[in-house]
Amino acid sequence: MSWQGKILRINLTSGELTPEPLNMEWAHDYIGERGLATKYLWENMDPKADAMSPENALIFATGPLTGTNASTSGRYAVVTKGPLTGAIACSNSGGKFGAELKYAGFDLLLIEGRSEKPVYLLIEGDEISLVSADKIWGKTVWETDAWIKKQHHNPMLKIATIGVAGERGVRYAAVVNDLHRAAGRSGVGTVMGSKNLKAIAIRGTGGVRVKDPKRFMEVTDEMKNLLAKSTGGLTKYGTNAMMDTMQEFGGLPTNNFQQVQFDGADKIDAKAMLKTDETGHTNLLTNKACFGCTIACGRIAHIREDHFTIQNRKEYWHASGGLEYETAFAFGPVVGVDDIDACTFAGYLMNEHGVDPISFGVTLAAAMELYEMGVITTDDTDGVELNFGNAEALTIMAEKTGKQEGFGEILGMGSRRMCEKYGHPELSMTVKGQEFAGYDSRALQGMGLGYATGNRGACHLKHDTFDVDMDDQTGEGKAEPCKTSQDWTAAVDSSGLCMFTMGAWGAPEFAAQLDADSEGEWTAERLTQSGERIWNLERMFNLAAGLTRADDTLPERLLKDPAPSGTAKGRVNELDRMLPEYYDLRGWNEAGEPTEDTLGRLGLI
Amino acid sequence: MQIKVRVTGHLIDFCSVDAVELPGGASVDDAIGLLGIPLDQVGLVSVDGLAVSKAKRAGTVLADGSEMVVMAPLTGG
Amino acid sequence: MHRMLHIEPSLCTGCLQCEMACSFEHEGEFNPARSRIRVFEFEHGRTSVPYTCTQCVEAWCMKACPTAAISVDTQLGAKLVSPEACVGCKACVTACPFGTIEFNPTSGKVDKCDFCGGDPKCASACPTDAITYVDAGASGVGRMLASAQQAAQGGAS
Repeated sequence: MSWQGKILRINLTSGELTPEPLNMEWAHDYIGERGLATKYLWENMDPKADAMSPENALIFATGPLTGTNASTSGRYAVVTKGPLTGAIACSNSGGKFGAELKYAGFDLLLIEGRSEKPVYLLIEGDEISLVSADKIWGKTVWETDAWIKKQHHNPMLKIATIGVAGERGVRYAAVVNDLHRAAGRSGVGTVMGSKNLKAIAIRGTGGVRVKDPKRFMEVTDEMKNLLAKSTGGLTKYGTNAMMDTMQEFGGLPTNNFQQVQFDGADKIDAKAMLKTDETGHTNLLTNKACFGCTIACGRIAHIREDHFTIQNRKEYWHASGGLEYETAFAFGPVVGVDDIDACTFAGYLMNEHGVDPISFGVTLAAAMELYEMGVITTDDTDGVELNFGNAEALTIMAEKTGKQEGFGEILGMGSRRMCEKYGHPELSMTVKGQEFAGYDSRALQGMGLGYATGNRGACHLKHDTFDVDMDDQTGEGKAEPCKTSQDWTAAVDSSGLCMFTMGAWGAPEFAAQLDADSEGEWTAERLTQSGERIWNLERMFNLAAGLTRADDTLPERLLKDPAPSGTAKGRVNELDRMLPEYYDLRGWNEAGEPTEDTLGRLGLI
Repeated sequence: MQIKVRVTGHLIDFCSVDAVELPGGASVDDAIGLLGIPLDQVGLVSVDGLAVSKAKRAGTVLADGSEMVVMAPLTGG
Repeated sequence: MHRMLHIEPSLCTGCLQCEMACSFEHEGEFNPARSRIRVFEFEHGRTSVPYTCTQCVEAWCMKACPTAAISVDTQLGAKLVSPEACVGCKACVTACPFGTIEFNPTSGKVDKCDFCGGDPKCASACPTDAITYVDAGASGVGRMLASAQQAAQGGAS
């Protein structure tokens, strides 16, 4: 019921493919997706192992609600030890691949070892095999998707793959599924590449059954209606509706976080995407849903055919995934670019080559600052003038990074390694080596605490303090909502549903759906406690991997240099004030380690 | 008196004017109400660049020529 | 009244709620591979097109069937497969020009859209009205109306 009760262990070193029963005790304690995969990772590898070594495990996991008709039920998570951070990496994605994995009869794929030669995993109904990837190693995400479908005469295959970036060790390579949805962050695609695993292609022909079908249909119906009441803006404008809010608020990281407002924001925001220009071109074509999603926040866009990026490249004269808030931030303000077509094209390139746009954009921003300081010159950058605002430099470097050519190899190291290489670690806008998303911690204090304590490094998706951060720009009272929402988000990320429902659905609404779906009794309290258990297990992984309290920090720029403008003008992030309060609330000691009491309470010892 | 208005995010669907005429002594909440923006869909308001928290909106009086920005809540992503 | 499933691809977001509703109704589980309606995507998702049996009046599947397993629901106009009579020969699958009657390896019979007995679950599950269950004699009215409205607006400007 709801869980398929089966996992697939894939040993790439020996080539063995072994279906195993799902450990139901773990499923009950860790739900699915992020939580369950974290437990499997913890039990199947040494956290001290090198992320790029065969000793690292790579896990694809669905949740108990994945593949059901609950709204937003298409989520799956990829969990591994991250090559960017040396911490646990957990990245989730929508599209259709996750549900397909469930329909193939598996809750989770546990990938171990390293294949001697490039392979892809093929699951067609009950036939499972590792197939030589000789002919697609070196190909892009889009070419790989088309090639595998053609090779197996099966257009219904759903494919998750890496591009060249993942093959060649870009530290923040993504796993891209269904052409333009991605488990984008923390280098999960890099680990896949290090294992010589090019792709996973699945056609699932089985079904998903729920515990109480009648109640499940009633409750999911009610929940869809509730969701529709508050998500109209997301459907119509997408997440990039936040761009002008962040601009007015003064939390929009600009020119590598030197400023918090960007003059060109109105040229790349959600309204700009809807605007028809003098030639009759409108960037946005339509909105698009992931599997099961009744919100449909995804954007499908196209680029002006006479734009410098593609005027001589007809292969890009088609629609594809358009700008969302984070991509607009990463190709826009943080690198000072206000050219919507260039930003859209950079997004295409990230999907095509399998690269995390956030880490790429923020790494490029640091390179631009190094360039403007004179630390690097055109001698280093293949002759490209790397000034902030140079749209051409953005798209050239996006392609070089994706293909691992020239200066793209340096950018592929990520901001921290690159800034250290050039002797300016202070310019790296990262936590634990992972780049920030598009919210400045001086304006959004709780976000800063969430970044600093993020188990996968800087991340905006593992907590939700937006309301309190907007209403009050001090560090006061931020530790509690940060901790609570981290736990809650961990539960949501383990359910199989999307966190964009969180504005409409709280713990009781999630619990009602899970309880009708899954074996056992699911209450709001149990879900919340499971979330806290998951957060603490991730923390234990990181501590075992060698991370310490010293890693729970922010760059000096955000702690010492006041915000130069906006509603938070003059403020710095008050991490010193928030962090001890946060550890205390978590039941952790001063070193940031969970106490015996805490571990006992959560069943972690 | 007249104040200048900007809105962000999806609030454009409620309010497309860039200025509003208000009686003297009107508060931030009065202005939002007059513009037809549901209060529960407001993330933050700033007046002349300064944040006005939810608790202070009803008590913050606008002046002629003030610039008010009504921001949609943030949703993540 | 003869009704039909009216499909408006421009409204489809590709969420596949229709496929899940269909398979749940017919199989008691969520299983898009066994859905009688399928959504296809083109150009990186620029268009998503739901596709199912059009319930031909002179149904080729029905004519091809050697065991007379396919009959007409005279009230709804749907072509129905009798699982008792179907021998799984797949002649109908070959005959159907649209590919909307499909062999089910589990049951050894063929599956096709049956309008769910007059309450098609795909239509009620669609969150954007891309699939509606309408009077077959007036299925074009919606597009005519939209087109006329455009003409009216064009005339006014």
